[in-house]
Amino acid sequence: MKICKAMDETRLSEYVDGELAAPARNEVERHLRGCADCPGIVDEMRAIRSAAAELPREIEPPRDLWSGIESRIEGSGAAAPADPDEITPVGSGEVTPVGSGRFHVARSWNVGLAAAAALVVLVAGAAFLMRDDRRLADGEATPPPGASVTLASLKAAGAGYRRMTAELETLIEARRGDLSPATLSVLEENLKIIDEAFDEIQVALETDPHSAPHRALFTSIYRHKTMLLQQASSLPPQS
Amino acid sequence: MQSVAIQLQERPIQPDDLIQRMQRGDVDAFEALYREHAGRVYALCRRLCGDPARAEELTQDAFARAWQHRHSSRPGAAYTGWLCRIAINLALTDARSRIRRERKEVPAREGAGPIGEMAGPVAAPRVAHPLDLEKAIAGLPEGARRVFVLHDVEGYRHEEIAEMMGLAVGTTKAQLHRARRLLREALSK
Repeated sequence: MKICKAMDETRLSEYVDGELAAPARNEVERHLRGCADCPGIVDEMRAIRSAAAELPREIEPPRDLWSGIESRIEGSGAAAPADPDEITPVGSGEVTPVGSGRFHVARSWNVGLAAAAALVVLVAGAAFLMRDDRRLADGEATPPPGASVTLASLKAAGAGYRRMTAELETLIEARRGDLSPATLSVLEENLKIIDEAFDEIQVALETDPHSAPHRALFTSIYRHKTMLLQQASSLPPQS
Repeated sequence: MQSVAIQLQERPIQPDDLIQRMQRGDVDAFEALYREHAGRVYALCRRLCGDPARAEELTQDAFARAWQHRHSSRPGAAYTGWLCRIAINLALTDARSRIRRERKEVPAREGAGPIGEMAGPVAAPRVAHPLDLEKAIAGLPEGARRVFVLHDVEGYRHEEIAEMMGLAVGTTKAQLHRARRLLREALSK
């Protein structure tokens, strides 16, 4: 990496971020036209900036953390009053999504049933493939130091989802007369796929309870089932 | 399928009902919100603190804090931002506490991060592979890493980062430049 003594690299960094006023920006651009090294540095900075903005928004924790959270909140009792120092964002006084200005795309529940169906098919397919394809678990079979994931803990983690899905299923059953046969058919078909996927992933987890991809699928399946049921339960009457 | 999809797109479901249930003290609803947001909060904590085990603790603390302050949580998509701000505040507070403890034990070694200061000509980096970039970010000195994550990964402005970290804007700019330079060097190896 060449160092250009005629240009401060901090200035180049500000240039890449578009933070320079016109005179300073023009000065940098003049320098870039005549310098053999700085255009390469600018390109590198842009490549890193761009790659950083495209990093995944989510990384699945290596183990289920809910039990630790549950134990923390069990003893916490009543909710505390708002603590503005802790939770009020900088600036406007309104909470804004993190990074809302440029990169952030918050995960939303605004997913149509068609998308949900595609997702559950993918989840089911992945669960089926992973049961037999050990390569996917390579490097994940050994639990990280300190990890205490067991199939029992994963099943316990899904208890809340099971309660929620049971509530939703009851709600949908009560609304059966409100929904069109076509809707019910799609719903039932997708629930069947989800439940089959869950059976598959349970088999996979019994073989390899420490596999991070398997654990992620386990959580994902429950999440998608809840999402699908919530969407279906909120449909307006169709008949 | 088609009619259902169309109707659902017209009536999008927000997790507001979960938030309302959570605010009324429904732990099941809060667990569902945790399942929805755990990956986002853990990613933030892990990148800010650079330590997967510590990130797990911070993630749990962030959700416990969110439960404690659930009555001030925001509806819809703003809930994610609200939760992330809790996680960021915790991660930054944790870092400050850790730095204070370390300074009591050993002299300050800011600048001697795992990547270190490298010099000499190296080949220009190509577009960084995400895994390489994650590894390189984790190897940055702490101050530079936090500013880089908040600015280049999360999209915060220098003024916001400076206020969150209790630093001058000039310092966050210098840290960002330092992070980018170290990353260029690390990714060129």
